[in-house]
Amino acid sequence: MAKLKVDGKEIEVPDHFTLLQACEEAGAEVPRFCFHERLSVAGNCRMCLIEVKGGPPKPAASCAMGVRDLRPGPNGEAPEVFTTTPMVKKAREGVMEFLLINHPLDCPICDQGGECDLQDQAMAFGIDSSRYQENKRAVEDKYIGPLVKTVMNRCIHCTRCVRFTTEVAGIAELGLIGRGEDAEITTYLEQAMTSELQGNVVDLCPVGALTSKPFAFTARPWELNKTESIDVMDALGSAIRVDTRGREVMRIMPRVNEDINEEWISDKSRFIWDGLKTQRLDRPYVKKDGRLQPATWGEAFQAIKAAVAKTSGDKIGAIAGDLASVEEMYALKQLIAALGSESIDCRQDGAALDPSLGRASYIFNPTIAGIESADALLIIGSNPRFEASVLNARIRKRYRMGNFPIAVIGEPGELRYEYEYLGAGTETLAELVSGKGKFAATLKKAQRPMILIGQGAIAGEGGAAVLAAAAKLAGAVGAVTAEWNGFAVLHTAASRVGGLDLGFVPGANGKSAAEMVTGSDVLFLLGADEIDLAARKSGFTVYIGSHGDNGAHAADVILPGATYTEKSGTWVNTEGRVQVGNRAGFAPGDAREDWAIIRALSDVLGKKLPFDSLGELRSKLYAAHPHFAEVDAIATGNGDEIAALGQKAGEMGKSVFASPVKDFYLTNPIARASAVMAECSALARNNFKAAAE
Amino acid sequence: MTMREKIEQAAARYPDRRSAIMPALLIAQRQHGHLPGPVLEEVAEILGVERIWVYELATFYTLFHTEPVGKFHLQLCDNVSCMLRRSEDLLRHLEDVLGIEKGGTTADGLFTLSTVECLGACEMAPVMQVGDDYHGNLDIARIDALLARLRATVPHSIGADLAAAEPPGE
Amino acid sequence: MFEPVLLKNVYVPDGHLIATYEAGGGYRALEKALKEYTPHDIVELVKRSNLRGRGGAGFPTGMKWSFVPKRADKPKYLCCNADEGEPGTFKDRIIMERDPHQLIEGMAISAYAIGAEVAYVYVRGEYVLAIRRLEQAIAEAEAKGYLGARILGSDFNFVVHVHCGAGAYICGEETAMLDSLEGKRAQPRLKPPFPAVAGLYASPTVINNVETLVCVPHIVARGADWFRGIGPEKSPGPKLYCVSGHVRKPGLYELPMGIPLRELIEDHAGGPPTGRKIKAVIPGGVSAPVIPEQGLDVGMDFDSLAAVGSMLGSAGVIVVDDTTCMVRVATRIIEFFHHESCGKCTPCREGLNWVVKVLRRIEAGEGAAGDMEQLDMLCKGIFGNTFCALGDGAAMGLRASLTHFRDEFVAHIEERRCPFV
Repeated sequence: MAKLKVDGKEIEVPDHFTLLQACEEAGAEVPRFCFHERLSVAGNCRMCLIEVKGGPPKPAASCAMGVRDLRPGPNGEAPEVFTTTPMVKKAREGVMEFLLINHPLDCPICDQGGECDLQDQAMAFGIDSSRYQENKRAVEDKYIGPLVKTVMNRCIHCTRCVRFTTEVAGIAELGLIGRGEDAEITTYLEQAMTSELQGNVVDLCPVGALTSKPFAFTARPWELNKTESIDVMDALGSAIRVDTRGREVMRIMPRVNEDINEEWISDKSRFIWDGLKTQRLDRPYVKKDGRLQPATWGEAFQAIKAAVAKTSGDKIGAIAGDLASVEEMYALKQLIAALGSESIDCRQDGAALDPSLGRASYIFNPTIAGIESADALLIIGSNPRFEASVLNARIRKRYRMGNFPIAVIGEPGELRYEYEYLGAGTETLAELVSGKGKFAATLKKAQRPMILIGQGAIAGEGGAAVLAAAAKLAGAVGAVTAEWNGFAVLHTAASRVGGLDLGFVPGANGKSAAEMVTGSDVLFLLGADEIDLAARKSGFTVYIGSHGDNGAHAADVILPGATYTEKSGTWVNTEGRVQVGNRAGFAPGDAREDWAIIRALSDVLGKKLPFDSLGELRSKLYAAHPHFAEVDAIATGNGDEIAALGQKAGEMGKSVFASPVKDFYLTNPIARASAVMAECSALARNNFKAAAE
Repeated sequence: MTMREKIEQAAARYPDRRSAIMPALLIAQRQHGHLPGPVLEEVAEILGVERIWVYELATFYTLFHTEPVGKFHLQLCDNVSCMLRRSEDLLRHLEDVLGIEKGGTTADGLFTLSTVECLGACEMAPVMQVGDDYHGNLDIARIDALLARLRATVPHSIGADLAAAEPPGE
Repeated sequence: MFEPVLLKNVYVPDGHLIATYEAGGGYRALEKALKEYTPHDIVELVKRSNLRGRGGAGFPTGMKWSFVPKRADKPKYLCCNADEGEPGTFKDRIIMERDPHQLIEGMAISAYAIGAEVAYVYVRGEYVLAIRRLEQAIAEAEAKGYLGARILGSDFNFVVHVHCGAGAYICGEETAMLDSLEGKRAQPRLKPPFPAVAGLYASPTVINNVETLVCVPHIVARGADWFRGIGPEKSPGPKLYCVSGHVRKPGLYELPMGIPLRELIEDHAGGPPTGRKIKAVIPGGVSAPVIPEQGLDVGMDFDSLAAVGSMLGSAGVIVVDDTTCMVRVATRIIEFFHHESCGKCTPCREGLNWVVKVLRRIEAGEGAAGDMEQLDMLCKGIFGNTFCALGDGAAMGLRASLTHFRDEFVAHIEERRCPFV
């Protein structure tokens, strides 16, 4: 710790603090444009100038100077800095005036207006007019892709965007070309950016140079209602804020959650919102004369009742989709049980995860933030860049700290960090388990090794054996100890861990998801759109969900549900962290929250579920599964369960692992309804083709 | 040696291939006369570095040209020491006899006329660099003689290999 | 009469060839250093000599070397700053073109002192002849065993690479040069960490100017006392002065540090052309504030020039006679800094752009009331607030012009034309 005085107030801060951080700690406001806590220090905007006592007779850039660089006074007094002296005030006014001479001051037509650092700081630290009488510089706008709009006249050359793409996203796509007054931010010859995290530069840009292209000119920030919620585009549960005007979602922004997403979100999480408005199921449908036709809720329920009446309980089944909340899965599970069936499954992909093996066997035990304290990483059957882009950025963050060997078994891909490629599938894994190979030794030597298992390794036939082998490996290399559990299952579906926690898996006499497709008379699809229904030639299918996607196309009855922004719901992320998302607006037309649909249906089917409100549902849920009540917490897995799982390791057979995410931009029905995602997907495919040529 | 071999040879001098972007661009420019997109991409590909890094350097440093320049690039210094020795008279003369303005290229593609910052040869101001060579203590008569000499090195038909040709040695 | 040391070989025919250099006693200092001194001895010797960096800042060279950690798990680098871009300066070019072995020997001894096995000479790309001569000299030195493995039978291994610049004055700033060497835009780095601790490729690095390095063999050969006996005690040694502009004999002069500026111009460089009078002199390249004629008795060394508000800089002496418009000179200098500003920090990028526009207006007779105050304000707004010394240098120079030749600026504004046309 270091002692110093800020504006006369004595404080103590950690040695690695910059003066800027120390001043903030003391409650002094220090303006800045280029400085950002999560990026390297550039020191170029010169806005954060402060006065250092006993230093040279000029102001110091507080972002670029550490408290450890300060010298104590002649008699050992704590060093002193000032943030409000005339010298500081004058220097900042000067810098602000310089920043504004070439800035167009086109705030009335700028989307950054109202949430612009330049505006705010000009008000707080600038002077009220400019003495600049010359012509302003004109800079041509750049095309850098379909997501980020540029108005380059507004750029103040802080280079946050360049540092973000290079450092955090791990792909040097943006750069500063030219020099001096003519320096401009751009991509290489105005090619579209390709990072899945590029939208974050919109938040980082302190001015209106980089703004959200899909959001352009649609709303002013002050007219939006802001609802804090949870993202469901992957299994991370990133913290988001949903901005609405009336019932319409206008944009989605990240919130800070140090444990999960820091302050980043993926482009799918951010730019999905146009998908909330298209392809929506806004009224019930019933298939009549071979065609789905609009119906009333009553007609739809009666059609289901008739179908259920025609069959026996064991021929009924339910599959939960990737976006489902815990509440609706809980309601559906109760209903199916009441109808006399044990056929339920939340694993559309057939992942060999079994809640009876214990929670540790299916969650990301080391936690996302824990990645930063791991010291070796083996990735098995996963491409974290596409499956969990923000988590991948965390791996990269750890990688940049150094001394972090990474190896991959599965498909080789561009992950944004260097790794050793070990092999394609089970044979390589088996070798490692048997202790062969350099990387086995690396893992063994590590204090906190991490073994990341993707769904691509455990879906399908030999999945259970692979999972057990990974557990055995974890045991063998000491990845599970009293202080550290490096066994990390990376999920891709937001619903998955919640579903497993609930036991939304087939009972002893139940059928798996794949078996239900062909072997059930009445099949409930709760937003299940990722399972292949082509094989379902007979039987009655009920689709409960929000979008006219794969599931709805195969349905006999459609019950229109709500998307994640239209309901309050619980999701459990890949770490096992329970989180609650909030309703930002109402579902369109006749669509209703999914749990309420199931509750209403249960009444018609004569199996009335014992709750009339979400509150009542939750108290029942919490009574049965207390950990769901612990919001934002993780019920940690027991390391012994990994050891027990490892005992089951046996012959894996020969197979290769493939990531389940074939197209990052189109992984769920909302994404597939989004024109923005479609454009990104097309661009990515073209880039891939171009790279292959 | 091919361009790739020359670049590889340069890259061997550094522990990090990114360091070789600058030498590689100099090599590529000698070969191609200037640095259009495909050349930048080739350099990035040879060195295995990001294209934007190559682009950044190609636009930051003044000796790199992303647009074509004439066979003879007349780079007249007009910084203080040369200015004091009346380099602007030489500039005006060059503009007159070549029929172009500063920054322009003659229609036959022979000459591009630029003014440049201090060439570090102020003892022989005013100075002009043409290709690799410095020409100092210039006056109008010497400029005329130099232009005549440069023109004389060019065969009557100007082929496509113009840009790759080099001006006479020292 | 002062006996030239640094330029001894420069005017000898074929001075750039190793045979000539050896015949004049070349590489004996390297041999002496390797055989008679430890690296620590050399650092101490250079410290005792009071050699101060000839690039412009005048930092004591021996002290700079002593900041390099003795033990390091990373390789150490020596970088020679030969990106001579300061207008009015041409000394390094002449040494590299005509006596490149002197530089190589200086680098070898310096590298031995700091424990570096690799050096990069960052030569500005325009200096094609210097680059060729240097590359040829390196090949010769390698063939003769002055470079390479186990030099002259010692345990010392050392190679030198030439790195061509490509046109950026900012590379003269040592950390910008390091970024440039690493293949990045040449922009200055934050300090700390200082290059001696984390420089090129984050390794301990010493960056020295060409002239600084060529002093080293002579200090080894003749001793620290000899060096310290030349010129003022606090900034001693032989010094290269580049004289250009309105003098009869522009050129490179080697004279003791501290020689009066007037003596340099009048006695050595032949004074102004017949019939003209000196109006002002820029003593150390255009970053150095201008000195009016009445100040020419100042000694040409770091401390004396700093005392009169200017600086020795690169000792690029530009003489301006009384037929010249000082507004024009000031404008041209600011145009240079504006052109060479890397664009990293706000005050330099935006401030110089503003200053240039105002100065061009004044020079064109379109100045307005309030312009002088605006220029004063701009100098204050830039000076002290920039990331590196480039912006500071520009503001300091302009401030001196505004102070010493204010009447010329005012005349432009009031008469709405340049009085010198």
